[in-house]
Amino acid sequence: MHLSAIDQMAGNGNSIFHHAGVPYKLLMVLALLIGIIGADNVIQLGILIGVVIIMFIITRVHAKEIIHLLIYPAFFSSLFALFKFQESLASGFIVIMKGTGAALTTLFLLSTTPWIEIFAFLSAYLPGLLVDIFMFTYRSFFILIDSLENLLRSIRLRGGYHSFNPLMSIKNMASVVGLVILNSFEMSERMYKIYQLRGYTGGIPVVRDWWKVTYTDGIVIVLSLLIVFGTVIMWRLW
Amino acid sequence: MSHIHISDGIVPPVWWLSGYLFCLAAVLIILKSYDLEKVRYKIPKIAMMAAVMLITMSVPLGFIPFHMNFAALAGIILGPAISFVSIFVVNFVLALLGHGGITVVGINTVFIGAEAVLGGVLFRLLKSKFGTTISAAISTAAALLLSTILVLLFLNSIGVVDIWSGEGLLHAHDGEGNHHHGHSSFHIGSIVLTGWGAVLTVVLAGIVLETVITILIIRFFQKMQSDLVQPLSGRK
Repeated sequence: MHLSAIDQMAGNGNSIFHHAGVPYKLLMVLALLIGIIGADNVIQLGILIGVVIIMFIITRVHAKEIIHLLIYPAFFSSLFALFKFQESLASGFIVIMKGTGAALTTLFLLSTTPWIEIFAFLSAYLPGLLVDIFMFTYRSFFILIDSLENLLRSIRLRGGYHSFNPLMSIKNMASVVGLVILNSFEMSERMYKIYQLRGYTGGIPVVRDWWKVTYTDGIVIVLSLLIVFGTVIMWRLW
Repeated sequence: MSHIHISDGIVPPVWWLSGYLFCLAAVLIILKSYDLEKVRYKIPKIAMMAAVMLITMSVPLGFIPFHMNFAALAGIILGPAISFVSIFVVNFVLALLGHGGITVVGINTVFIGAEAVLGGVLFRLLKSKFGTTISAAISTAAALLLSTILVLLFLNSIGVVDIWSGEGLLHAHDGEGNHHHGHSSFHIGSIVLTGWGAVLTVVLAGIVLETVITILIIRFFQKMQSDLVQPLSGRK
């Protein structure tokens, strides 16, 4: 899933988009998503995707993981496009570009903004319980992946997995999943208790002036306005 | 098991907007119904179950073109209501990573949520009558069947698949985790199944496999920590 790689990109990047404020980046991503999903011609989509790719180049994040994550939406949309190609070549390409472009846009947000920053901003507007579930799911994912990798390795080394004995493998794998869930529940509960001991009472208590505009935010705002106006102008043109 | 792998721009806006509205309304109503102070200590459990689903939904099974969801298992462990919220979280995270479109998060949550809700409700109703194992088997299989039917009906209604011929229903992951989809054929040794034959074979194999694994996990929990197979309390 490359979640840790994406997290590393977001946390350690040093571009104008990494330094820009969360609300402005969210608004820009929203403008891009509306533009891409609402577009109905190849040129408009090409320009919007081009803008996202240029932004990716500016951020200098690792392209390998992003491309690997993009294979999924690209492949899927191309299969749906097969039906559309019967209508016209452009209709097929529109389906592929919409699917890939939207995924590219959300990946841009994730690779330039740490999850915790997104949750911290959203905690001001969403129910605290939902933000907590989001935040702890994200934390739990890493706990679970670590436990699962170790346990699967030891199961293989001890001969618990045989491709020629699927029944035994399924039984052992179910026990592995059960054990991992149990261990991870305990670890997650311990982590939560540590949070509480340190004064955690739910939500992400970050006191920050989210809407304060810095020069990097200014660039993002201008870019967002260009995207919105450009998209509206192109809608009028076509 | 049923999960709509549709990219953005395919589902008509009226469908995905309705899906989002319904899903968000359901999530907000569920969250409002819980007392935050009482349910707070259960957050690690909810989050961990969501993380389990996050992993299983992105790991291909390999030998059949499906991945498991463990949504029914979540319904059994967390209870029907809160499992719906955890499924929304899972779908949203997956969509941000490009696994399914961001526009279909609502619809996916409704379908997979239905699986969790039915699994949880049936398990709760049947547990005292039939015991843990049989209740888990019935509730998981019924939940998987329901969500599969819902997904097929939905995909047919938007014209993505043809329910009469069975074309375009399956998807598969290759060795690198990439997906293939569209032409409904399934190979068992030298036998090649196509159309509905392929669809039913894969659907039944998927349902049986997820049901068996869910039963084994529930039995494991019963042995190791029986209080885990109890729905969450904390309602107002």
